[in-house]
Amino acid sequence: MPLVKLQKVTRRYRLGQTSVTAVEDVDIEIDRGEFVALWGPSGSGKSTLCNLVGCIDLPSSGSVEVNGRNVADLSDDALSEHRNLSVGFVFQQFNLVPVLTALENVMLPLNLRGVAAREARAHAIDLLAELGIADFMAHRPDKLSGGQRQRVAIARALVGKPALVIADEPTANLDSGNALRIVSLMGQLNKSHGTTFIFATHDQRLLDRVSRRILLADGRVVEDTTQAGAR
Amino acid sequence: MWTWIKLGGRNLLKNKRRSAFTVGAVALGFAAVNVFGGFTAYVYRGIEDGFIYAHANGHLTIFKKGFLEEGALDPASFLLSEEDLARIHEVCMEDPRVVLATPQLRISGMISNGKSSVIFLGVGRVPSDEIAIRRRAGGFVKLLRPFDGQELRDDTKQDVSAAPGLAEKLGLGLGSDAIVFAPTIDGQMNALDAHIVQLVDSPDEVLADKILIVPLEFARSLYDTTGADRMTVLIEHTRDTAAVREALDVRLAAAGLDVEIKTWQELRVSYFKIRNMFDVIFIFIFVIVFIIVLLSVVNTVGMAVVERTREIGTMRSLGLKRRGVLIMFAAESAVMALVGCVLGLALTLLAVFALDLAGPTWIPPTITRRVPLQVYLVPEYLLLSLLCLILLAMCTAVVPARRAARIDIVDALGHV
Repeated sequence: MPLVKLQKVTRRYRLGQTSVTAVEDVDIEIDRGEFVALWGPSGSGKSTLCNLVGCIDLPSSGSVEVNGRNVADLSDDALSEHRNLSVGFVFQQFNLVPVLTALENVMLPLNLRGVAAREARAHAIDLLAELGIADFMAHRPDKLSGGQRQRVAIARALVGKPALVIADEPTANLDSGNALRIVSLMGQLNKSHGTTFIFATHDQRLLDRVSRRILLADGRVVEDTTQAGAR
Repeated sequence: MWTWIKLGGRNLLKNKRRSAFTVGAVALGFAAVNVFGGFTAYVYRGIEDGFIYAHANGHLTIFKKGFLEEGALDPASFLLSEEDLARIHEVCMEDPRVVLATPQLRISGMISNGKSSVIFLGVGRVPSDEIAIRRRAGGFVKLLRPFDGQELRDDTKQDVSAAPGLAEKLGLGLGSDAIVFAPTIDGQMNALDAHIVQLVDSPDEVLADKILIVPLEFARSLYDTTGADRMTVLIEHTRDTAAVREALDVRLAAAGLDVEIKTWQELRVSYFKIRNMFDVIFIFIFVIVFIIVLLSVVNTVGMAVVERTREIGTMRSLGLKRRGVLIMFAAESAVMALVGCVLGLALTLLAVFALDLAGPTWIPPTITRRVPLQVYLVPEYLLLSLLCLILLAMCTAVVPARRAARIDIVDALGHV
């Protein structure tokens, strides 16, 4: 059974009086452990697809199945639980909670899950150490560089050991050096943790390292290719 | 929950000015409610203690059944005999909560300076019991000496106490002699010589020219009786009034005594009128505080929701449920209200301390002398206002927080 299965998925938005189709008739299956990039020009539907796969948005038609369950059948609470247990998000703007330290930000998904504070803290520290930013765990986001913030965001996405990590333009706000480090870090984590990664990107450095590339244009899948020896 | 409290506390510090406004509103509201509440508690205590102790009416009064309805027309039939009084005293003193039981006799008649006479309304008391009752007063009433002149004494039967207005009407003063006339219980006219040794404050303005307090033996001689029309009972704690009344009711009935018991509240009708008036003012102040806090919290949380829309979207994408968003903002408001209440407590203590230091005086209701103006710290009010304000802040936060909880996650993440 694929981890994620999209069948005839269409997503339309209303913008004032007009209806905009962001994604149309998309069929995709993604298996566990894949390292997938959704790429294409701006407005091609990459982020919308990420949102649908990550269950923070629902399709206008078609079905999104995660682990064989149609997400449209889940209540809002069940979707929240699913996101907390099975999905990790990495955002382009990092989206760290500004009043929490790096450590507290990483602990957040576990706090929401009800994991005991001591245990959550231990997990978060381990992960921050693995990502090489343990020294900055007491810092708040505004005291961290862009690369450090993105690592914290990655740690937060991974701390709950999700089956799937969705990263929307994770390198867009990073300089070249940091972008490369983040890309190779995610590659390593994909290998070591077996976590499925799905990126929305048009960063060539990232595209060169993924095992599968899905090209989107005008909300449709135009090309779905796998490349050996990536990461 | 600790995560939300921590988050709330830090967000408060992040928006210092806005938080300060709301915290200040809560603090002022808390202080206003508690300073006024403390003042009303002081007034209530003054009225209670004034009636019970300063005017020696005790907590409970025992009458022969029907006295209050028909006793004025036929006082002789409703007097408690010496034997009744002795049995009532014995039954009362069996209850360990009773401190003292003492007979009193209300009298009325004329008092004369030899040339002119005026009507008086009097009471005959056992002077030593009256002193004992007064000495048990607390608060400012303890400091109050509600008369000029000297104490009445058990062994000087002719020494009496008159209200200043009464003495003034007759041109009498301390040390003056007078003649007191009244019909005996058999209807014969009787007269006794009296010596004014005390000018006593009247509990009510309308009685300021009518009150005469005499030793019980004087009153009995005047009415030619060995009885009394009531037994005044003083108990250890005012809060036990109802319980002691209930217990005495049962015991007195079991002893075959056809009597009825009234509490001090039932006899001091104006107490409830004054209390109701202060309660209405208190509610008025509380409603104003309620509205100010409500508007401040709605404003603060509403702005926080707008400013932190992206953060809410992030939290929701991490798995925070809609209910969790409500809890997050409710916890933040609770922290804000708690800080406000702590500050409000400091303001209240400051006000109480400043008042103690300044020592202003005033004449409260039912007391005719200047006494220190005080504000009591009432733990029940402090706790109740703390809980009310925190609950109010939490409930108020739910309105904007519900809006936050319903924000579409994708829209929230794209919010700038």
